[in-house]
Amino acid sequence: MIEALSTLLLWLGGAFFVVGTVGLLRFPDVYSRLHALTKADTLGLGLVILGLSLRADRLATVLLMLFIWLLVMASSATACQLLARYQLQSDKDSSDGSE
Amino acid sequence: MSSGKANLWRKLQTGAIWCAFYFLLWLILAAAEAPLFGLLLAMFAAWVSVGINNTRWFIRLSALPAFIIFFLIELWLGAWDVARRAVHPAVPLNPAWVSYPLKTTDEQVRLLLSALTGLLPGTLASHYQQGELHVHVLDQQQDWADIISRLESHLTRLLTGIQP
Repeated sequence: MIEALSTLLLWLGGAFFVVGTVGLLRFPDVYSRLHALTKADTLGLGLVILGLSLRADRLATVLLMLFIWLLVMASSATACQLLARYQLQSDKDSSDGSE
Repeated sequence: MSSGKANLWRKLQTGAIWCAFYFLLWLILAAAEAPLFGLLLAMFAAWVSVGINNTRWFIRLSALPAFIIFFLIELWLGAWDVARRAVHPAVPLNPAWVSYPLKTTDEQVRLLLSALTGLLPGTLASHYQQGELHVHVLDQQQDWADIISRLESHLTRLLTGIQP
């Protein structure tokens, strides 16, 4: 039962990674692409970690994986924001230059 | 002169706390291997933290469960929403830049709000300026202000203890 639930969560997590990449390829501009990657990948990794936690034999391993998820989430939220800011600035610069 | 000394003392104290925190992080992640290298890295990271004026963060534990539940639900909704838009051509994208008037004046709440907005459904912040958060939304018709406002209230309770 637990094994089946874990497998389901791992597949679901993987599916969110794939869908995030589909969004990256299909969405029309940089900002919308950032939405797709940040949200889908963060949840995808969370589900993978939840799935792996069900198979872990030690609590320490579960805590370590949760910790890694938190750190990845923090870095992806920050990186996403910085990329959006950088792109916004370059868009402004190029529109100022063309006027 | 004495205020300069007090300032230096406060910086050293903050640096030491950050250093301890980063070193603990290293010990957990590296399973206590190469502690000397970890300590050097922790010292460097602490120096950067003090350099960018990162003060200490205090979390109100009583506000933590509500925040975690809210955040996990919104994270799920956000990823689901973006997944639907990515694979379903019939679900429209109507992106735009909007401004959200910040209610809080607390710098830590603003900083965290700006970062975490990117994980909520359909919203992504680039920066805040003069009391306004600049947000990119995937769909202008969606009630984005309500979602950000709820996150802002949760963070205010979590980091300042004030009931907004």
